[in-house]
Amino acid sequence: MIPRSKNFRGLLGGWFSVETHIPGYIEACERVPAWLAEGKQEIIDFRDELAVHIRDSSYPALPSMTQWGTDEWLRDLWFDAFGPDTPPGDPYPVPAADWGTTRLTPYMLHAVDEDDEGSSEGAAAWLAQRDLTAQGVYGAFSHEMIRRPEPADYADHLRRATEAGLREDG
Amino acid sequence: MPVPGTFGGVSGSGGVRRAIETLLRAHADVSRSLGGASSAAAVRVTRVAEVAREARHPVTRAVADDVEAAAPAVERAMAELTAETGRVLATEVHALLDLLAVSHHGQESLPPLDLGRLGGPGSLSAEAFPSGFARSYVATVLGDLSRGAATSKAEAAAHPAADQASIDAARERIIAVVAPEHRARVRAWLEHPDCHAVEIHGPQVGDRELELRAGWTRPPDHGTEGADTWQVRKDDHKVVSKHRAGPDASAFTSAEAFARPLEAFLGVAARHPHGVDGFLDECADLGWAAFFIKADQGGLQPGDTTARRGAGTGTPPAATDWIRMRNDAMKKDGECPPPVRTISYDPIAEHPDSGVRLVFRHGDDGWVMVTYYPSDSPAPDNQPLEELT
Repeated sequence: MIPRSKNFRGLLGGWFSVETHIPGYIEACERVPAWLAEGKQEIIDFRDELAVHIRDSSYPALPSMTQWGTDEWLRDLWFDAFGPDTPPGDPYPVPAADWGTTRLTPYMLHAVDEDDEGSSEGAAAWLAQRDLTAQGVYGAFSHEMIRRPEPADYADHLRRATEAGLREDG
Repeated sequence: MPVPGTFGGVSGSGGVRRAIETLLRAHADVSRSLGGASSAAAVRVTRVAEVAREARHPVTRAVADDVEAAAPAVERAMAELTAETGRVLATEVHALLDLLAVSHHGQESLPPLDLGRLGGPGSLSAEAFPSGFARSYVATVLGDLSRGAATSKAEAAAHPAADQASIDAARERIIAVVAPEHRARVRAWLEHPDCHAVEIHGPQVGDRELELRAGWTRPPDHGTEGADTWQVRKDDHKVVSKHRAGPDASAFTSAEAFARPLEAFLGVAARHPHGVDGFLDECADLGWAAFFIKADQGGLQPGDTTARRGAGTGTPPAATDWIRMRNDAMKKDGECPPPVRTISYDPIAEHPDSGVRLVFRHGDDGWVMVTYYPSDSPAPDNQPLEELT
């Protein structure tokens, strides 16, 4: 799907922009379950479009980043906002065991602490929904963080998606 | 090669980064001390020769000549030692970068180091590293190391609290320089309890406050009413805070610099048929709107802003590595590594895409300005004000 919609840009550059305002990002990730329960169409559309950009590598590569690195950045956002279930159609799903151990997301790095006094108030629920513990994530701050290498067939994946008109070659 | 004082058995990308930085820093230290030792040795040898000559005995004179003849050799030997140290350290750094490239950044294994381009004895040139990822990484770290500074947790804890009167005075100066038709609105925005733009990014915030915010997440308004209760806990020296800070902390250097981009924004927003609120309603998604005002549109010049950023945080993955190192450094004494390093810079002077990020949210009492700060670039999909005019 190209280009990205106004709704998608507004939410990615707004509520879900951890680069812009960290407390807003934390609050948005914590509010997603309630927004979905209320049937907020903007969030449903955002979720569906995010999954498509991950599937097709169709979000333009960020400055000084590869397309693969950009896709991985969106997978972290998916986990933070929509939880542990792999986005539909993701050709390179993240192994479930990576989250919170070798793979730390912006929400984990900014909202989780081993003590309640340093954690976001919604962190306990956020962690429980993802089957993680504060102690586990906090411990991971001192341990391995491994970026997945670009898969061997990734160039083919990009070529196919470009030829099918699902993405623009950057 | 063991790297003392880095990470207790940790080998993640943060650990690799820390090892690379430690090695590059060690190289600078070794060069300095070996360079000093080399010239000191030559001076001492010459001095021995002079003392021997003063004895005026034929045998000691011959010894003196021998000793003096040895002086250049000593100097040469020391220089070789320095060059050898450079080679050893460069090789280690290259091996670590290779590890980082392959296992953390998903890249091909690096081409070999070019030892011929290491530079003279005692120097370590980024040119010796393969072009691309490795060279730019080394150049970034070497460049940052020469300027970067680390402040201890104890120094951060001992820093004095902010002064409410100076925050209030800064806010009044800003409001006073805003065009009269916008003053009431700017006052309402800046005085709202959910807005910390002046408290965190106002002209009363100094370089030290920015350094402590980037390095330790200590809020610049620390100690005032309504500020986060950031603290270094007394019993175990863990940093406890709910203040959330990225790898960058920035501020405007004057009331005028603070006011100009905000006026540029208001100039555009007020032209909406339903006024500023109508403009925000139209631009918002789920009651939230984030804008980017480019430096020229906001009337910002070099010198109008100042900032601190984490050393070596040029890309989002590098920034994430750095945040994790900072989280690790904030842990209890005994389980935390050394503090992260930060660099002072002017976002407007150093970056062509720089400007100001501005965020609003819709609350029970209407639109609230959540934050407003100088930045070296727009965040992905911030709304560019120039496209809304």
